[in-house]
Amino acid sequence: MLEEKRELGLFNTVLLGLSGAIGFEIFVLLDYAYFHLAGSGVILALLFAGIINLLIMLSYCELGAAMPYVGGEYTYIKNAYGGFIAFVSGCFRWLASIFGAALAAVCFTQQFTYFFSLILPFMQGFIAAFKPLIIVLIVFIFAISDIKGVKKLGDVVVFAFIALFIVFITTGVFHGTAQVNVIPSSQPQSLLGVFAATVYTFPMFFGMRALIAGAVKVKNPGENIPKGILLSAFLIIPLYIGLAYIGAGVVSPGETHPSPLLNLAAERILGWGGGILFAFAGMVASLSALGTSLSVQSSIIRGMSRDRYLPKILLRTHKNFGTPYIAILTGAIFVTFFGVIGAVEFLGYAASFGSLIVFAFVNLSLLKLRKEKPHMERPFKTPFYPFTPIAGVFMSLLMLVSPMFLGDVNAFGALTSGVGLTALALTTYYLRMVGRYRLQIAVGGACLGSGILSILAVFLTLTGVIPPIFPYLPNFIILFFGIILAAAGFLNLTA
Amino acid sequence: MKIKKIVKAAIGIIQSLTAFSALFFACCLYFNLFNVQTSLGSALQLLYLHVTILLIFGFLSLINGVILIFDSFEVK
Repeated sequence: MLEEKRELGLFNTVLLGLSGAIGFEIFVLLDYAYFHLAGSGVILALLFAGIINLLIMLSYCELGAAMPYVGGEYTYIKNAYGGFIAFVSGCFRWLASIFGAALAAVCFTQQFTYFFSLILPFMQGFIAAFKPLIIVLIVFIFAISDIKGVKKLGDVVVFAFIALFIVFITTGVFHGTAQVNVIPSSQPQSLLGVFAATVYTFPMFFGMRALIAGAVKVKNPGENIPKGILLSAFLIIPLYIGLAYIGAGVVSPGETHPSPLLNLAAERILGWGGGILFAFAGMVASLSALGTSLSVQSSIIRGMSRDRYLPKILLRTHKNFGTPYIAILTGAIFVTFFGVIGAVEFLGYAASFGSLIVFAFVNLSLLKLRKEKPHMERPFKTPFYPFTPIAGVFMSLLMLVSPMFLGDVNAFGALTSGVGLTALALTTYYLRMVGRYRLQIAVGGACLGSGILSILAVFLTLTGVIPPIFPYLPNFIILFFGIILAAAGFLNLTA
Repeated sequence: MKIKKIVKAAIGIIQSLTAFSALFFACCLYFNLFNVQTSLGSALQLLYLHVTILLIFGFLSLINGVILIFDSFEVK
């Protein structure tokens, strides 16, 4: 088992949790929830999201204190359910990191554009036009710096963010805000909006799982991990509610301004400098999250590769820097792809999708381990067992499916994409288990058949027997595709 | 044996490239990147069917191509 020196006390453990939770999400996720879903009801939504997060984190406290090892959730689930479920949960955790990193890249471009709108307004249109290129550049710069083993931003940034947010809230109170209706009207539409905003803003909280990833470095883990998780969970709730309250008090939900909510509020409260400061903070937070997510995704797929679920090429390290460059680049390609799509709302839901499924699995693992390993040493026990983990499973699944019933088109897109990617993950698992020779024969046969079918389809289309299947693709392209399929299939079949 | 190795590698690489093209085209269709849906107009009444076919053929080709490439390096 991989062991590291345990050197983090309670204070550093809380900082670790806060550094995961205080991130770019507040700069980007608040907008859609405020302007489109709940208005000032977003404050209540943040309170609900914080409480649900706290409920789920109670299970993390028990499992993290009992198993403070490398792997975090993957380890807990593997202990409870064994390989297959652990593989599936690892895939979801990986997907959440990929979508989170893509969202961070998109957030960076938003803040970057806003930053230039303040200092060089004539450049704003130019930068907006090149957003996809900026995303490609920053993802690969971070991938390369990750490969070179560049150190991440430290605790100083966490302190800087907390200080900045406290200054914003305090100045906002003295500046004066419009009356904010924290409790929404009792109309069903308002309550549904608050619930949708709860789901949508939930990713702002669950970054504190970073503490679990660093559990292997925590001193006296039985005591410090539960305290660290609970303290960071409690501290983050008033901080985010304060930010949203001031934002809602300064910017009306009816405003159709293209700037992000917090940046706009900071500009109005603190002036031009405030806008610049928040844009800069947003950029730093996004880049920090992008770097962290790229590292996390690479550690997840390396873990699964180590357990032989994924190709061992992912474990290969750079001969000069000793970093897992294949795993990092693999993730970077996916992050770039989803980042270039650039739909914030879609990425927000998609990042939640993977995490919520993992939360459900972690809570189920707690239930199973309590039943099957009752004598396991548990320095912390989840209160109100079994209601707490059952509520954790229920809330995770409810938050997963409810946006669909609320008719949110972004949620539908994220859920269908999530299901598609899950199918891909399960197919990967099956293909790994089936063995290469059998796979080669099966895929070769399928390709040969598909190739012959494609050639036949072109022939039948040309003779007018059937209408063209892809009317916008010339027949010679389909014919070329078919010939390559048949030839490659034949080669694999006869290997 | 050397010719077989070269043929396998060449076909594998071409197939992987066509697979990536098919997958990329599927994504362009689904997410309407570069305004593909609009520019192809009425031909896209069966959008989901086309995306599904492209995805299936794309992944199948990709796996097949990658196996061929790996296989070509292992031919003795």
